[in-house]
Amino acid sequence: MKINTKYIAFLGLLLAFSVSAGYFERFIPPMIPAVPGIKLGLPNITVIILMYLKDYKTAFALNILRVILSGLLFAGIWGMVYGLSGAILSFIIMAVLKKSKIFGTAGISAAGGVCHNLGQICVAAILVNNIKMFYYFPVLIIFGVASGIIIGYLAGLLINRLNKIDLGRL
Amino acid sequence: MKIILNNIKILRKTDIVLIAVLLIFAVMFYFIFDLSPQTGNTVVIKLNGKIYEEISLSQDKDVEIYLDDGTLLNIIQIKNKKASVIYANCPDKLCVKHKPIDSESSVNDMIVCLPNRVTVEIKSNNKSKEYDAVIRRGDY
Repeated sequence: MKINTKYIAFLGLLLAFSVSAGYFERFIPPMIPAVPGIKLGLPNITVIILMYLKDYKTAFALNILRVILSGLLFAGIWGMVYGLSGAILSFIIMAVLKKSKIFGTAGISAAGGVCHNLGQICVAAILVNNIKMFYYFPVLIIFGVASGIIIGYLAGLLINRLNKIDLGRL
Repeated sequence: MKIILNNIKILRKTDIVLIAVLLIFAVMFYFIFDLSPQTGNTVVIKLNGKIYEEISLSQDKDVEIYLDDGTLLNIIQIKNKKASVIYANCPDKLCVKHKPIDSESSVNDMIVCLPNRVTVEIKSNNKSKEYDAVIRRGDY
């Protein structure tokens, strides 16, 4: 594969967007006070875009790099651990659903959002050693689905727009 | 980069089915882990899943949680029959932002400090029901 500067710049742009979007999300006040830490998942837009316009390998690499970068910059080592668990599980599910070719971006992203929460809650339950963590799960499913639909919709729009620009030469 | 000739589909019928299945799953989970209030007057503070301290909600007290090496992890304040986390040494401070829990809170509602593995929960008055994972609705 020939890698040119334009392509590197494009990937850098996507990575920068996902890290800064993840940072921006932290300032949105929690919607329900009982469960703080619910996030929109804006960085997932870039993962879905790359899944469609490039390949799984690149999308996965960007996803992992984003979590590591935001962990080093602001989330801390534990934020990184939780982020990775959610990011990896949701990536696997999204890749499987996309490969099945019967789902649109909204459904893929909604399932990804739920699995992101599932991955984090599993790690949290193991680390805190308390199965009660799963009591949050129903709420997290609903928020994961809702934010996933929004993110999937945005990602779908962006893919169709980016497709009109000639990215083929990148 | 790939060139996709046709626009990709954003929302298909299968997506709606998938979303519906996920939501049904959420409702099922809700009923399995019965979230209806079950009250209690004792606060249980756990570190790493082990009980660190048990205190009554009626006494005002600040509990400091230390690791074995003397690192201060969290301070839990019990005031006016409400328990809240007022200090955490972790970066995200989600537990400090969590709303205080009191005797009206459900036993399933708890404050968690994930980085420090500290949980603050209300213990049920009815001991036998404390750790039941599956309770039918309207059991009590």
